This record gives sequence, C-alpha cells and structure tokens, in this order.
Amino acid sequence: MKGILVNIFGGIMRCDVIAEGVIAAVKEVGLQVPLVVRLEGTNVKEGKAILDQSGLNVISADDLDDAAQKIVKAVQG
Amino acid sequence: MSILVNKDTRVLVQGLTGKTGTFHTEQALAYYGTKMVGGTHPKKGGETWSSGVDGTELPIFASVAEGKERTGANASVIYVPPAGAAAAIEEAIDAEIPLIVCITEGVPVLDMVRVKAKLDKSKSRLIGPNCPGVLTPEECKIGIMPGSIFSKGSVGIVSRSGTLTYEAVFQTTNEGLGQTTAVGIGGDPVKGTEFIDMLEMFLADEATKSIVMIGEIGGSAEEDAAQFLIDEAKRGRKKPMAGFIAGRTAPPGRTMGHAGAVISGGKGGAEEKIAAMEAAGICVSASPARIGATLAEVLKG
Repeated sequence: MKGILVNIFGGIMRCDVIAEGVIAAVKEVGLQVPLVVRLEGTNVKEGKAILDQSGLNVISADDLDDAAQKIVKAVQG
Repeated sequence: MSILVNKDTRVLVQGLTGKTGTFHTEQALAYYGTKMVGGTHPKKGGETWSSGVDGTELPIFASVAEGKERTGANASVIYVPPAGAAAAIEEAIDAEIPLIVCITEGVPVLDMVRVKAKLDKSKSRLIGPNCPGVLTPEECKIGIMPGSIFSKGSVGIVSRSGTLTYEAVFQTTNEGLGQTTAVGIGGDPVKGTEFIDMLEMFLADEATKSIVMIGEIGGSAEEDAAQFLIDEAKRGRKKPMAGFIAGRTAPPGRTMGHAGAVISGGKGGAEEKIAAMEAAGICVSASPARIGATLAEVLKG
C-alpha cells in the first residue's frame, strides 16, 4: 500500500466530521504514505478549514479527477 | 419547470425530532425557504420543534393524517430508523400523501415487498428508500442533498447512487448547464420509483433539455430504461443524454455498497448495462469525474 485517496461527497455525512476523523486517524496510526483528501458537499468549508489548520501533511484536492491525478503523482514520487 | 417538487411543495417530516431529521430540516429551511410545515411523532403530538440555527418553530403531530389535515402537506420525508421505516411509509400512503421520500438505509427487503404491493394500489409515489431525496434548484429541497452545489438550469438528473447524484449535479453546475430537478431513486433492490418513471417525467418536462442517468450493477432497471427510451424515440420523444454505470470492476456475487448492487446468476453486470444504454443513444462516460463533460460534449454535437 503506497498511498491513500479519501473521496467524500457529503450529503448525509458532513465534511467537518470526515475531516476530524481523517486527522484523528492520521495521528493515531502515524501515517507514512501520501494521503490525498477530496471533500465536497455538506459543510465543505468547515471540513477544508479543519484539514488546512491541522498542520498535517494532507494533500487537498478539488474534484475527483484532480484527486486521482494527485494521488498517482504522489505515489510515483 | 421541474418535476416532483417546486416552491409550492409543503413538506411534513416523519422523524423530525431525531438528530438526522433535525439537521436536515434545518438545512432544508435554509435552502430557499423550502416549505417545511411540520413533523410527526406518535408520542410527541402537540409539542413544538425548534431549529437550532434560527429558532424556526414547527408543530409536531401525532400522525401523518393529522399533520396533512392541519398543514396541507403534499409531501413527506422519512428519517425514521430502519425497523420503523416501512410502517412510516405505510402511514403516509394511508394518509394519501402524494409524494413520499424515504431516506432511511437498511429497510428490510421483505418490508419493502409489502410496501410496494400497497403502493401499487395507492395514490402515492414513493422515492427510495436508501436515497438522498429530490431537489429542484432555488425552490425545494427534500432529503439530504447538499444544496450549495446546485444551480438552476436545464439538466434532469436521475441516479441510483447518492454520491454520484452529487457528482453529476456538481459537474453540470460547473459546466454552466444547471439542473431542473435531481432525483436519487435509491440503492435498494425493491424501491418505490424506477428509472422509467423519472425518464417519463423528464421527457415530458419542457424545461428539461437534457438528462443524466446514473446506474450501477445489479438488477435490470438500466436495461428496462434503455428499452423504454428506444420505444419513446420511435414515437419522436427524445432528449440528449449522458450516463454512467458504477461497478465495472465488481466481482460477481459481491454486494458493492448498496444492497441492490450485486451481479447475481450472471445477470446485472456493468458491460451489458453500458451496451444497452449506448444502444438507446445515451453517451456513457467511462469516468465518474467526466459525467458533466460528457453531457456538454453531447450537447455540442
């Protein structure tokens, strides 16, 4: 496993909840591989702000194509 | 114009007092003032619900019939947990609510078989269960779709997948096309409304100039819809269409995310569905990230 792509388009699930979950998981497991997160939908601004302010090495993507390209690039180094 | 819902739709919430019902009712009220008229709870009739956002108050009724009589509701949305969801749908059918939208995931299939039989003899239309709901931009939001990604326009969207409904909405907004109405029909094998019903409405709606149809593996609803489109085209009814089928890489026998998304007995695979849709004139995108771009290309000709 060389990289992780998280793609959430939140409807019933809120992006701020996802962002908090991603951050907690990254800290808990001490992630060593590239992580691309694409958030869109319900509470997307709050979600992106939480990721940006975390200080963690999370690559943010704007749409699904962008996310796919970023994770492939990150994995190929 | 639009289909199913518009600015005059009056919505009753079954399960308003729960956490999910509360959050999404607050969101609906904030979306161009969708007319949320009240909620129901068998033991909380007479109480009042209030929004944590702006203090908007809605009355709680003991039954759907009472709520309909007192508010003039012509639609209901169901946020009731799975075990009680079928009973909630049946209560709304008995109250003759014209449009019932069930968001709940995990409604037992056997319950839905019973509901479906009752529905066929009723005056109601059911959307779902296990669906994101219905949204007409700048008019009415029923369910859990994120309102911020919509724009008023000319594309009718129908999908079995919630998230892919949002992708299609987001992408058609970014293409500058916008939507007339988006409908998530749900991911369960037994559901209230199939593709054909929605395609019929979109073909009949003058404001809808093109249609996006998103299917997935399992069942034969996409093949049935393709045949319907071929038959309608022979009668001269046709609109430009783009589509997508989720689950191309799914192994046979494995349920993929949705209860209804499974290739069983060699039937319901992605390739057959894509072939059927293309035979009906739908341009099927190979990537879920290019649904909007595919439709834009179709429209350019």
